[in-house]
Amino acid sequence: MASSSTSVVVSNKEKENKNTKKVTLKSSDGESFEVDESVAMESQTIKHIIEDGCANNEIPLPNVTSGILSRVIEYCKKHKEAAGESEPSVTSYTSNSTTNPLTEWDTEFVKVDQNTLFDLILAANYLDIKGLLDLTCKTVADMMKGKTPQEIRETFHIKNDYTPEEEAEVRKENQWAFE
Amino acid sequence: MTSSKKRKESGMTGLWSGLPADLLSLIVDRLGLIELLSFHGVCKAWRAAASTALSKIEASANHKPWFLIYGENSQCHLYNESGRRYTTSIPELDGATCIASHQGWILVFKGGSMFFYYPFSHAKIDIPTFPLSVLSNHAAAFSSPPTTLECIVAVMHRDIMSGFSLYVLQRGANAWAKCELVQFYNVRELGSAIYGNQNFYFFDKINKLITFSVKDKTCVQHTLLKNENSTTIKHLPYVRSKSHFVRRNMKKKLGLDEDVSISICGTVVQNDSTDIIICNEEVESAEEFESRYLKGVWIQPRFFHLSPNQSWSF
Repeated sequence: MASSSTSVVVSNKEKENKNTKKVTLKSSDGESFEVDESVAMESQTIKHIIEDGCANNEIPLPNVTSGILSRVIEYCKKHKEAAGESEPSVTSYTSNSTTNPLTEWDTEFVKVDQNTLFDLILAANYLDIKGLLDLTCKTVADMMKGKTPQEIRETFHIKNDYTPEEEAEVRKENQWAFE
Repeated sequence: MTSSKKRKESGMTGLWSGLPADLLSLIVDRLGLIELLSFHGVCKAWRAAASTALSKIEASANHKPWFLIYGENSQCHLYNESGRRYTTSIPELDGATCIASHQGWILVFKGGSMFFYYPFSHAKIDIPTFPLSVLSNHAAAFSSPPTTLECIVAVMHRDIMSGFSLYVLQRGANAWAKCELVQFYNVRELGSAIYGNQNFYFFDKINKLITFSVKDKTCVQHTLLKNENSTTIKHLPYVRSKSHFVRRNMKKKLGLDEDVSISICGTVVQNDSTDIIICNEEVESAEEFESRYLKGVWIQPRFFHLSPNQSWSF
């Protein structure tokens, strides 16, 4: 009895896979990633390419490396799953932890080094994935909370390009907030 | 992408400062004013990106002004619209009284000397000495920030013995001008003052209004009527909030005891159709005595780049 119910489950899955359209994304460094079309369409950029009928073989993404692309695909898959059967365009990407069940997953997802975070922002922007862009930008903003300009410079390795006079002026403008 | 090549060579320096402006603005949009001020001071590229976001914050803060408390030595507290407190030391306000507040600037009177002060960057602009060394009941306003060419200041003063007097100062002038006043009837204690349409409006605490035309240099007295739908009666495009501090339960929000008395300078707040005048307010101690006497002023956070050495004269 148990085995027959298991086989029913397996065959349903197979049916699903056969009906799901796939699309291939090619990274800047030549790696190909096959994903469900519905997952790929979490990206508005890719969605337009597919809808315009230009996605015959592979969709080249010359601005995204394989390392970043694999992460982006991971994000899209997870969020598509969580959204269930609904259209990507209808899924709401709220950062409110009480309504977004993926808050914990998202928090872990962005625990990456700065180079990766930076590249994720650029990729999310290029691929037009609102949720990922919101998440990554919010992460960067949170990294600045409660920090003085010098602390922010240290966190983000930014060179101070102010002259000493400009610096004095700038310091005067900000000093009151931290007493 | 050439940037990844650059990164391998120079480490992480230049990574974030090279973020395109449109993406920087997405990050900036998620920062509060204080974080923005820090962001603004990091480097030149980030400074440019912060400017737009700062204007947005200023716009939203138009509806809910911040509150500055002072009066006990130089230690001052600034509360934002959600009650968050920032502490700063402003020695200039020690022994002084704020008499007007507009667009982030406050007009301060200190025993005869008068100056403009911008608390968000500790900027001070001295103006010519005021003719009176002591102020009793008064209402004051200025037309625009003191850094603007057309800034005019007007102070209406009411003295029990000598009655009303009006002093006006134009940007660049090195002395206050005392204006000739006609007799006022039944105008009581002054409660607020604003500037609009080349006129200064001085309100008493009940229903009298004195308008001063900057062009004609004349005063006209009016009586305010409520809800009159007559076409012959002029409509005043302002609404007054007379007990703003009390109605918002501010003593509790600021953690002040009931036996504290506080003297408050108002401001003007923008609303969709009508501007709201937050009137000057005297909040008494709830007990028979006062444990502390504090001063406060409603202020709208504004952020602008101030070049050093600002002066009243041209």
